[in-house]
Amino acid sequence: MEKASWQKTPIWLYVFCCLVALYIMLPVIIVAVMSFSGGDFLEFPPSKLSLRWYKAFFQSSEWLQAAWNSTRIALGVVAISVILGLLAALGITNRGMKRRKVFNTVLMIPLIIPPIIVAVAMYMTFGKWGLLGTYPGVLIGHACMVTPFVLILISSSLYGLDSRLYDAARVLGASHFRAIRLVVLPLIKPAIFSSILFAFIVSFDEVIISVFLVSTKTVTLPKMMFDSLRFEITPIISSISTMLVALTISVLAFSAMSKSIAERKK
Amino acid sequence: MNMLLNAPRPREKKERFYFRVKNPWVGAILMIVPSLLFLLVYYFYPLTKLIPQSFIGPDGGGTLALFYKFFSSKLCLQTLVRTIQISALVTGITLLLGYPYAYLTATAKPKVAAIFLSMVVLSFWISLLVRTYSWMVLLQRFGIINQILLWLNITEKPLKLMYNQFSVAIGMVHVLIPFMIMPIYSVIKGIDKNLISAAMTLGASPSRAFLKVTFPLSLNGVAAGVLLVFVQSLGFYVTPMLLGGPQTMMISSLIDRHMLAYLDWPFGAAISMVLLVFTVIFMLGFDRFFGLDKLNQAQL
Repeated sequence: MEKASWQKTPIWLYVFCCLVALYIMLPVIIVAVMSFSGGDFLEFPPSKLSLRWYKAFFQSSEWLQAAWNSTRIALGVVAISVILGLLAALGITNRGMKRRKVFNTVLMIPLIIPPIIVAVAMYMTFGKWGLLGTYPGVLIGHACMVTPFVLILISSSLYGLDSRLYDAARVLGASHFRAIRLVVLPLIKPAIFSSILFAFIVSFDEVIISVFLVSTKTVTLPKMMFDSLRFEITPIISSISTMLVALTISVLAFSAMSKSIAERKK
Repeated sequence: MNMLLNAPRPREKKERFYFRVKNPWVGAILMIVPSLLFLLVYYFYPLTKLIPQSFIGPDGGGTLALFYKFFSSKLCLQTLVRTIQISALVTGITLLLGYPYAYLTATAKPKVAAIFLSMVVLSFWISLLVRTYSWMVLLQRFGIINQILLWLNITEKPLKLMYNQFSVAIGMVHVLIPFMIMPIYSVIKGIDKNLISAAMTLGASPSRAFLKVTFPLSLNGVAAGVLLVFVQSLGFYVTPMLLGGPQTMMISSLIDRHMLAYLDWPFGAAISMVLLVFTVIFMLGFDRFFGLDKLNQAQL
């Protein structure tokens, strides 16, 4: 018998989708190429290739300080949100969990409410608590937004797990926590690894919360880019953008790699 | 036999209440408590503090004056209406562009699908600031698009492509289109192919099979995508701020202006409340018609 298949795709659909794909990818690619312009303005195609705008970034102590602040904050956010998100995912997917939907929805709310509202709310409350403009303040603000991401990533990996493995461990005498430590955690290692990477990049790229919560001392890279773009379109942003895109690509590549290594082991 | 006797017996030490809980439900809850507590203190508490902030008058008593001020100001009302208009426009365009893309990605051969899918995933994870900046570079007065138009002799003078509704829409669609494509993609991917084959065997033309079988079954994904894009557009901040001008101010820019420029916190809080209420209304409406759990299919 013939295997069931989708109807044939008309050629115009391919053309249309290629155009949409161009729309999605082309702007970023063009900026990446332009970032290597040597002139005072960005050109496409660059008449002279140079690393001028990259040098400008690495020679500016302000930009470097902002990049370092972002890194520091993102590392802290990874630590907090991956621990919180992992625990929550283990709880949510637990068979004994009651009212799963309610708790899941509550924990997902930060993904839905417009971040501008949250930024305003945190701005006022954190100000009273003396957290405004401080390193812990920004860290906490970001962690609230990132934890639900981690929860989604890890819980979807947990839902895909064969629950008999956990049962087997329990039958053989392991306690709930021992079964989780020795059986479940090793199996979801790739998901934990990618949630670390994605938590890092979400915090590293976060703009809105940072715009409201940082001070000149804790200014993050996206906040500094946003501020400078409000007044002019400077070429130095093109080199930073290209490096951020490279960071994103490597995060996706690493996460895909860890997944495929885990599959091969099976 | 000997071996069996020597097998380690289950340890019978004193029970610590949180390590071996009798009720599995308590064990599950205990795992959620840390993140729940964290969000309650640092996320939900500040949000609830917005309510008293926006209802307190200058004399300290409760008042609706700030909301009266919002709904009687022409600028504020215009901004609110414009925000809803732009959001609807952006949702419509992302649907028109995103549905065919998601359909093709879900039904194409694995290799082709992987390429199309990876572009959406990559775009989703690239910083939205970077993506907005690329549009600024492309659309600016002497940007590439104007250069091409000049070179093709379509226009004599560079066009004003930035700081208008067009540039805001083009940038927002670019940033939000993954949120439309992903849920539709995953729903179409889950449709049983046999249904389409059956329809065709029973004499339906390909387009009829699509309209009568595939499309109705994909509506859950469309609903999720529409909600995600629309709700996010309502509160969109970075892209309208950078690609738009005073003529295209959205409600988020209004909040930003009152909070950070005029330092009028109570009014900023009141506008935020208005935005929050509108967001919640649309969410509840969605829940009523489709059920919010449809959003689970939108996982990226």
